[in-house]
Amino acid sequence: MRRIGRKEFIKYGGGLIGLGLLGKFARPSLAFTGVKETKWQAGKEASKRVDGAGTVADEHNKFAMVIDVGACIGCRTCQWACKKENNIPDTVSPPWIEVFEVKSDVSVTGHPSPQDLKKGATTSYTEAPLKGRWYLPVQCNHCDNPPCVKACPVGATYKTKDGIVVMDYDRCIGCRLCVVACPYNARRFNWWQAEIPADETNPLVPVRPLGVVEKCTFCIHRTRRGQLPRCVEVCPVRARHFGNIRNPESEVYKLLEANLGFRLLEEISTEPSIWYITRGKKWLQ
Amino acid sequence: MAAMMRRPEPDRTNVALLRPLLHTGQGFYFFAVALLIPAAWFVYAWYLQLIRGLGLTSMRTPVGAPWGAYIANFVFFVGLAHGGIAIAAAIRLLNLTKYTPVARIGEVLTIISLMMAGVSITIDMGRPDRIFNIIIYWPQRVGTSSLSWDVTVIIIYFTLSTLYLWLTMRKDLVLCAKRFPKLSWFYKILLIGYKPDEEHKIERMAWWLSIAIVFLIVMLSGGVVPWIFGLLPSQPGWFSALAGPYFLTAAIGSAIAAVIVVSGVLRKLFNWQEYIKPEIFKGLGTFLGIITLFYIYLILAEQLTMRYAAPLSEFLISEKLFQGEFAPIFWPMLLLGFFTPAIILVSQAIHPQWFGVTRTILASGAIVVAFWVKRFLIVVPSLLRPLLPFPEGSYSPSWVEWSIVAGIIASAILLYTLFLKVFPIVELGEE
Repeated sequence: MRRIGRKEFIKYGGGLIGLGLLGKFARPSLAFTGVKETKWQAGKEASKRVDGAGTVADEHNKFAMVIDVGACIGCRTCQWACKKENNIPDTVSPPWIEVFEVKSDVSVTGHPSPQDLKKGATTSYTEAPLKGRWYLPVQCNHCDNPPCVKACPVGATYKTKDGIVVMDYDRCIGCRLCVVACPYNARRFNWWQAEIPADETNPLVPVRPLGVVEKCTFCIHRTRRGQLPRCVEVCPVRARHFGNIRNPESEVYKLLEANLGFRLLEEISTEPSIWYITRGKKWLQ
Repeated sequence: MAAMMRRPEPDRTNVALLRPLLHTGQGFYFFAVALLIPAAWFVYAWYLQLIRGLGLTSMRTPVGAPWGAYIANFVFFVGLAHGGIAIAAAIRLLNLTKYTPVARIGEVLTIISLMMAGVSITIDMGRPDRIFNIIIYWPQRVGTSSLSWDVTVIIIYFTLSTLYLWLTMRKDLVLCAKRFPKLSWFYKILLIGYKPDEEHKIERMAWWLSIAIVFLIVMLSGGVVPWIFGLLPSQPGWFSALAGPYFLTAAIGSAIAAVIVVSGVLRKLFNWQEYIKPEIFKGLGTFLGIITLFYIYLILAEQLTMRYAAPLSEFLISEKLFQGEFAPIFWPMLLLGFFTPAIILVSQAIHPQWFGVTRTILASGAIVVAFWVKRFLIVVPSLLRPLLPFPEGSYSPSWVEWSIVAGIIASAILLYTLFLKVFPIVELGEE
């Protein structure tokens, strides 16, 4: 057998290392929602109802949501509209948005004890709004320092320049490390095959295959065209606000300037993009 | 003259050590079929899970546990994979020739356990068809994802330990090729490039491999596997710098215990009392007793932090173990699975007249089972209590999960049995 000499070894070894480096600089795929990136760019000329928001992912535009928990009446319209808009099957439960019904003397950002849970920190409801309760809608926070993105071993979830944490359903291997890494339990998993009738399917949003993780996308198919996310659009009491937080003229910026806001579990330093404000319980009057 | 007298001795030894290869009785077939049934059932359950989805398990999210018995099984088998090679490497590096007869018993355990760990994690994946994505995107992700490191180190560890087994077995394969002409083509494939004078070179290679493996053991069980858990602030009970030492101790403990059990069973089965001597059990048993006591101390350190520190989230996870839904398995595990066996093993070391091989094997068996339960209790309770006020979940494995876990264990034993039938499990003497 011909022996591989030192020179050959260096030559072939160098080639292999070079191949490895090529892999390192290969760009991640842009197929985050099944719709190609070029389509979003085509929507550049579309209406711009999201104040000041650009339509492509760029650093001058960062989406944020402000939720007025004082205004929220716990009607769950956002939850069900989101379910319809994003083709969420019944088997993914709860859907991407969850609304907690919280008793006034129970803390929510802390950890509920069994006693607290018995006292009423629960998601079950029959009627809303109830006296002595308030409502906390939660969904993916699109963190600036997302633990899920860090954890993913294949880069199937990543942060875009405009602040949205997106999912690549074609790349996800379903290991669910992102699910356990998310402190907000915002991620859902397709335990079963999604079955949605064709006439009820939103063609802009892909129906997720079996065995992948999914979550709120800030309605990327709408917001990048200048439309508001569905949950913001349908809120009957205008508790939800959405816009470009980098634009001082935007509604979200002004709201955060005028009101003190908080974000969920700030002590973990995930830097969420969803802010909560309150201007008193509006629906009590 | 003395050399002439001793000559028949090694041959008698080799015949005894090759007993599993020379004789295949009815018992073997019964045993193999008894293992094939759960293994086949496991394949069926996996098939069902593949076509219908992971919904067949009782894992759920966000209310419930997104990880369950499969991940516990994965951590358990990665842990088991440390014993054999650790013992083999220690024997070589520290010249503990007394333990040589159990070296290969452990090496094979390592390789089969790693395979089963890989199977467990593949079954847990929602999209096992995309498993190679981990390798394709490895260069981008290894900088931040603990799971990429896991795959890396497991692959390296598997490669090195298989290499180690193969290298150290070559000289026995020569004997086998001579003795079993029917299978000699197979042994000859494994003996590729064999030279009669290669022994010295192989010794050197095995020595360097041992050093690499010792480092990898710390990297794998003390590094990357606990990183999956210890790096997640979202899960109280996991987020801890203790995770590394905690998992490493568990890995070495469970692995030594498993080596004791396997050696004990083989010794009884093939009448190898004079080759696998009681001293081996005594030495390994004492070590295991100390490791287990140390593990109990680590449990104490963990639980003290969880119970006495202010964060309520940690306390409530601990409470789940102490008096919540997991108490019925936590306390038996601690007292019957760790504490009692550890006391038995350590007292044997202090009072040599109390020593018994069977007692050592039984205590080790209890420890192996306890370490599976412990892995389950690490994975599940933390997941059931989200940080946000979701309702509290519950989790107990479904029949599919039990079938698959049982099937994986049965397959591991089956693979081990098949290995026994083809390769000598104890290093042979000269012929």
